[in-house]
Amino acid sequence: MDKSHLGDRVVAGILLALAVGMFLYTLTFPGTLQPTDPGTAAFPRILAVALAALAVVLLLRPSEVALLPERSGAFPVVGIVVLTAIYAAVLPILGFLILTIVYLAGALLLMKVRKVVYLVLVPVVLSFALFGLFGLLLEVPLPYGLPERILT
Amino acid sequence: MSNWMAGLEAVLTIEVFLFIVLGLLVGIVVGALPGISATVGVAVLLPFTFTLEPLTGMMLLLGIYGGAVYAGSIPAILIRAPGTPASAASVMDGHEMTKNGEASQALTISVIASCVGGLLGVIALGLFAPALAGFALSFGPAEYFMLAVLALTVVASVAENNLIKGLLSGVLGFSIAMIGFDTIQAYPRFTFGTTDLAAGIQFIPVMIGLFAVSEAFLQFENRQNISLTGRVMERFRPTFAWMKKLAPSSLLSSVIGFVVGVIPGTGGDIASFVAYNESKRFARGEKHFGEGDPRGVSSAEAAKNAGTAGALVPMLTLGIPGDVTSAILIGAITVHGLRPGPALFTGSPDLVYGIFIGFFIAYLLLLIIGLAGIKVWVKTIQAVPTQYLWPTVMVLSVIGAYALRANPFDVFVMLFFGVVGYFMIKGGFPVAPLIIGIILGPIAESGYRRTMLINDGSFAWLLQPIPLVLLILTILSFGFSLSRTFRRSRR
Repeated sequence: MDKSHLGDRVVAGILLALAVGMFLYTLTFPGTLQPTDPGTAAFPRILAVALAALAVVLLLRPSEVALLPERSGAFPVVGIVVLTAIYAAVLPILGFLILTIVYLAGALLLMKVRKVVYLVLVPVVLSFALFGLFGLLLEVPLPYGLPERILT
Repeated sequence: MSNWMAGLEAVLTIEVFLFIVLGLLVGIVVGALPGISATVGVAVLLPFTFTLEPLTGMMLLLGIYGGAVYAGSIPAILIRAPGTPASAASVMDGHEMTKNGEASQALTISVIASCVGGLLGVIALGLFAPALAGFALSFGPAEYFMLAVLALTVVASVAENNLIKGLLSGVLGFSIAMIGFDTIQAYPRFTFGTTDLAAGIQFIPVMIGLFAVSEAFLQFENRQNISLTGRVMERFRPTFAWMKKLAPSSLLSSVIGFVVGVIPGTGGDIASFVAYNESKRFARGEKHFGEGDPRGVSSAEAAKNAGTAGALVPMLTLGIPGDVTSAILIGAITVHGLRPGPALFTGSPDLVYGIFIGFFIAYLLLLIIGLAGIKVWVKTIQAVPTQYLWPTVMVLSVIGAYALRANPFDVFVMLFFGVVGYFMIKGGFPVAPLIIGIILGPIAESGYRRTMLINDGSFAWLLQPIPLVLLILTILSFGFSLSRTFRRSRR
């Protein structure tokens, strides 16, 4: 992806919109309890103004950046983001073990691992190892499904 | 003396010792893999310390921190790819030595100088931190407010070369800290009616997202394997004359590294460059610097590890992070219901003094482990396939974010900030000011509001000695960065 000023300008626009939204939201905040207290809205308003001012400077003086991934790298990045979102959403329902095996297999495919034996063995071994180490040994709370209940 | 005894008693257990060793081993592997910095390693493994005793957990993380900062120089020296940002200065002479067929000597200097810097840094930490904590006990809300503003200005100025992007990142961090109940009126702000946001955005998922997940996304984009092989490892034995030659640059750089590390936002990353340049100025025959001079390696190495100890000074004494990794360590302490700051020295002396002693022991062990296995480490790191590593980092990140409250919402927070971090890195926005802004936001806001309440709405407190000095330092820091930015844009 070629470098251009567009990336910084887009970011500046987003931050400017965020600052305006933040300032408007503070108008719904209650007043102060004591006259000398700057109030619950004061600090967020100062920050919104600072954010807007800095965003304007960035808009006017952008640097050349390549914000988006290269074409060949876009698919694995988008893929891992989507895969992780699904993983997080379904994790409490299906439990750690089954889902982590599927997730790891998917992530390995995105990392260009193509040998079936590795795509099966590595996720299975890693998932059980991580569950044993963190779930059982260190007692870190992990989402339980049927396999985890059987194991414990 | 009783505080030191309490610390010694707490640290001299098999459990703590084992976790220090474990931390060092993990840290060496983590640091030596380009892309996984000390920060990523500490961020990913932080949630797994929740179930440990505070000191044991801290020692695991400090072991990773020290080990990773040292080991970042292994790929820097061998393949010109710093494993951690702090090792970037080691590339200059370290890789030149490798090209000259002196890789083994460069790696030996790296481990010895790292440990000398680390040990001297920890001694300085133990000497100065209690005194500074005693002084900080007199700090009120005005002082904390000005400290937070100063720290953020310094962090934003030094983190990267773009002041505007650094400040934007810091202000964004402050803004994120405004989400949830405010510190005085307990009014829920920017929660959009959801209970998940009422307690604010959880710091740990944000941090895992910004550092570990964003880096994983970059690795998924590039999908490159590293190779440390192909380098001839010659036989090398250090002699007394050799050590004598390197001692001045190591000692000078340790002092510089510690002092620079104390400045919030700097840590070992900047310390190593500052010390390298100073050693170059003071050294005789400076023309060899940059061409494979062993003194160049020793100065950069000693400084970066002394910087790790320096970064703990503001973190432990004031609750203000010295660098990004120490920001994460604040999370490791607060999760146990403790708050870094001067009160920690009186409330939990066993923890504070245990950290001093434990970190010292960690560097002694690092010297042994590092010297014993230079070639072993190179082979071990070579054997770690990155294709399997980054998916594993993703799973560890998800577990870490989920483990905090057993709430999938935190995993989505982590993922969101992973994407934010990815675009920040691609767009040249420094991530450090954002994370430090999140920590400093509540300190700054409550400091400001309490100060105004105490002073009946007057700004006269700005003329009190400490706030005034901090204000002047803030203006100087900002002014310096501004003039530097203008000078650069004119060229």
